[in-house]
Amino acid sequence: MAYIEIKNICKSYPVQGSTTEKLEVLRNLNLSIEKEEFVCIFGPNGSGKTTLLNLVAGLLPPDKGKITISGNPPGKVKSSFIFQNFEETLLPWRTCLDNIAFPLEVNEMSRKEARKKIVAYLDKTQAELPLNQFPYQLSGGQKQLLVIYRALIFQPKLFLLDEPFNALDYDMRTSMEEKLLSIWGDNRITTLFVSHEVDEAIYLSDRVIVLSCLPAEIIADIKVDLKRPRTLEVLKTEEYSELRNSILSAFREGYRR
Amino acid sequence: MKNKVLPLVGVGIFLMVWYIISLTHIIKPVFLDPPHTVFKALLEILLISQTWGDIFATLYRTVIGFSLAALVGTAVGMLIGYSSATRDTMEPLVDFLRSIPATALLPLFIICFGIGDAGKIALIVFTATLIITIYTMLGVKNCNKARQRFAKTVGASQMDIFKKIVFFEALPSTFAGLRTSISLALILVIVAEMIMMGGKAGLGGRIYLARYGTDYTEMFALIVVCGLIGYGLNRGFQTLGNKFIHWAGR
Repeated sequence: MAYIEIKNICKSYPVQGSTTEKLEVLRNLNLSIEKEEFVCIFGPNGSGKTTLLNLVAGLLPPDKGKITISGNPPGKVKSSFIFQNFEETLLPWRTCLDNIAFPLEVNEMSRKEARKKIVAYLDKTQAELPLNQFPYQLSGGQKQLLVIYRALIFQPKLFLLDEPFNALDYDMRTSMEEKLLSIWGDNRITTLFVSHEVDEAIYLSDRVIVLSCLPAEIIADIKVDLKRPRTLEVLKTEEYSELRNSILSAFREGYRR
Repeated sequence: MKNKVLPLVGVGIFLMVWYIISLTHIIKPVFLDPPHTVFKALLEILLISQTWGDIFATLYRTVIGFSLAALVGTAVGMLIGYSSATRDTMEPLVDFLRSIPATALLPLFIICFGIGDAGKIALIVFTATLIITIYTMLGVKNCNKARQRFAKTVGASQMDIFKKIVFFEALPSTFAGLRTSISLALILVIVAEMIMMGGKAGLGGRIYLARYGTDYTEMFALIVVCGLIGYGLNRGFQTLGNKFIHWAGR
């Protein structure tokens, strides 16, 4: 059995102003994800990518079907979720250091111990974060980095990211992707990354899952066999363009449906 | 840097208008002295120990009443704000009670607590507690759901979410309530002192007695004292706010 098993998942939302009509978001979705795999969910906007992530995180219950994570129901496994509106999840009354300490504190570690651990960890990774400043004093990229460190400091078993780099310009985005890969490389956590950028999806992941328009089904499940650690040079290779073409043609097919 | 001269210009204009009004006798000189006479009277009454006793009495009543209200109001507001059931149960009631003009309750408080310190303090506690409760409740209610969702995914308990997130998120609103009610507390003490003449006169009692004895110069001097105290309390709170909730709204 795979690490994450998603079996026959259905999910609809009630339509506003109607009692009978429902918006079908996911229909009989099946997906298995192996331990330590980095999987990108790629699809058009409004294709249920975020819904899928919420189901895996246990923040939403499915209408039908079952999800297990190493045999447990979702929500029972230590996981970290970086939301699209991640800036709103920062705690503005805490310094950077204490923001990162939060997940450790609620998992039974004293703040003093947590601080020590974080400083040691960040020294090792040579992170450029002003630890004693408050979130409102940081740049966009630093906030992003802060959220990633906060998500990984307590060694979750599952890492979920929902289009986290949307608000960044191209330069920032590629540099954040590089940083994310290097941090992920040190920890190797099973990761689900939602994206609507094809380059981002290939560059980061071991596998790209292409979703169709609603109700979302899996159109393609494409393995990305590019060597790790990767650099942006990989975007120039032949293999890369082939992957890109097959993903995009699947994407177009999904759009037509 | 903020311009340090402009605020003084405002004060200067005010004093000039005051001079003009008193010198042109638009208002009879018996009722309104020119500024320098009032400030001379101010210095004179500040040299009398009785005045300091009254200032202390007024401050004591304000601070004790306000502190009790701050404790109770914050705690109650946090608790009933947290669950939508308790909020829906309590909100209309609290809203109604705080809508009663506090001064309408003066006779009731005299009956229950007498005309001494207890009656005055009780009046403040009642009014300020309700205001702080409402503000805190709204702060809790308007918490950003994203933070709580984040906390839940990393395994925070309900208690942790309350203590480490909701409490802090509600603080700016609570603080706005505290600022509103400290000003109101001072107003209420002054009014109460004019009507509940038990114990030390306090500044309100002194103002009332000065008018009764037609000593309008002293009356204005005492009004200036009240104004300075109110201004000081407000500014003090502002400074506290900038220090402890510097992150609000950012």
